[in-house]
Amino acid sequence: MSIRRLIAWVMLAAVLSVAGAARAAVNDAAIFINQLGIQAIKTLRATDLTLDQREAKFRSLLSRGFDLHFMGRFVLGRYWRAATADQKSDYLTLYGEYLLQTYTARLGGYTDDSFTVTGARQASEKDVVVSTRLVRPSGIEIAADWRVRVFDGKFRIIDVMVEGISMAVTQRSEFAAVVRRDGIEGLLAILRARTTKFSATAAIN
Amino acid sequence: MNLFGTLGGKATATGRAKPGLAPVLGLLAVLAAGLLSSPLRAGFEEGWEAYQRGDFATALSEWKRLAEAGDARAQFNLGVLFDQGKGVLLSPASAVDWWRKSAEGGFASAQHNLANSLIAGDGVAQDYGAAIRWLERASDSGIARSKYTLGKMYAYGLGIEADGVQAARWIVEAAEAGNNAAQYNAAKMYRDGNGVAQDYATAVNWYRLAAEAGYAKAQAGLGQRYAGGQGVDQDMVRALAWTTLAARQGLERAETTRQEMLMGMADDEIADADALVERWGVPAD
Repeated sequence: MSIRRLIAWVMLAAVLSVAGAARAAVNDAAIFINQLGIQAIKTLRATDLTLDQREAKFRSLLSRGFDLHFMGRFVLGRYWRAATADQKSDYLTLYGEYLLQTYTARLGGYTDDSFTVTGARQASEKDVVVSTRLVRPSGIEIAADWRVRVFDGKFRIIDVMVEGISMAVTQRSEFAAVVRRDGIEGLLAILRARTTKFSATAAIN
Repeated sequence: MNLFGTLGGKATATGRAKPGLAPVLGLLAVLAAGLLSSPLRAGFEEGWEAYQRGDFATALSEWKRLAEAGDARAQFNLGVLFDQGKGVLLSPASAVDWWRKSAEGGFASAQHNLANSLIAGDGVAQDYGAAIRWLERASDSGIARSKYTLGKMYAYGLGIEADGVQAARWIVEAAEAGNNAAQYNAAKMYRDGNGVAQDYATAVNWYRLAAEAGYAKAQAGLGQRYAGGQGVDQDMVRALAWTTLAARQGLERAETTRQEMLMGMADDEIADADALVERWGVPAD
């Protein structure tokens, strides 16, 4: 084999191995989202638990699936650097709470949803986007894309896209408008307000 | 979409019955009587059971009937369904409408939620002044979360002149009522002498209450007090143990502090701290 031919073979092997690694990452990301979905459905079907208990379990599952710090920082954008240490700490706590409460309230109560992974693709050097479909017994279908990235060897969700609209990008522009108008404290007040509300009750108050 | 389709369907079924079908009509009349009396029997509890099952459409129809009849608790719960989009399209404006009715009927949880919609401007124009008035009413009914939020409004001068003393008063009241976030904030106020006379020992007491309830930032704060011997005897084993519990909950700066502590501690101290974590803490995932 000529040197030139050997080099060509080595280069081809390298390209194939990179492509193979990328394909493995895409598959692994799809498995990660599928597992999360299976566990979520199992949690939601445990009707021996109260709704609050089911939602608490679901929420704990979500908190392990999302990278809340990464998302929180991305969403605050350039205002992150301007925040004081106390504001950063309050913001990350409130943002995490806000995200978990929102998703738990939207997805957590239903016991008969079906969830399917419909595809996955390499979206950038670091990220894989996994496409899913959630079907409610009423026939309502929700198509969601989950952007996942590896942190410390573990997959974490860093964005959710519904109907092609990125939640992180939407929140980023909403939060920026609030900070421009009312400062970081105004944003913290809104997040605090959205996370402190009471849920349904049987108590006579 | 007809969200209350079941009720509409029942009325139509009896209305279209023809003469000459007496037995059928009779049967329908019996069925109709059953259906018409069921709303009287069915009520809040049926709605609550449906809600627990995740059958939000039934919860919605049960509570809506009661809410329209002026039941403040059903009005509140209906507002929650609209706010969370459960069994109905998400509608913060409808949530506000029902919470306002319930709040005016004296339901304290609705007063609290309405105030927070007014702060966030969700479903209603942002109005800090109105929010403060509802928070004051809910606080008078003893709602700890309302007291805490009111304290924050005073602390940052949102809709009211900033007043550290009033802020501390409301936050300490919320802390005394058992609100963990308020306990953590009260601890910081006593630590810094912010709105109250500086008092490290009292700060440690508030940190401890929230930390023992699992509030991560309070665990980190308590760890810091043990490390610095502020308001409590210095104890690096307990400092590391509390900081580790906070770090386990994902608090980044607690993990940084923990790494710094580990570098300056002997192996037996670290082992003692680990033993405390095992005794106090829930297992890491």
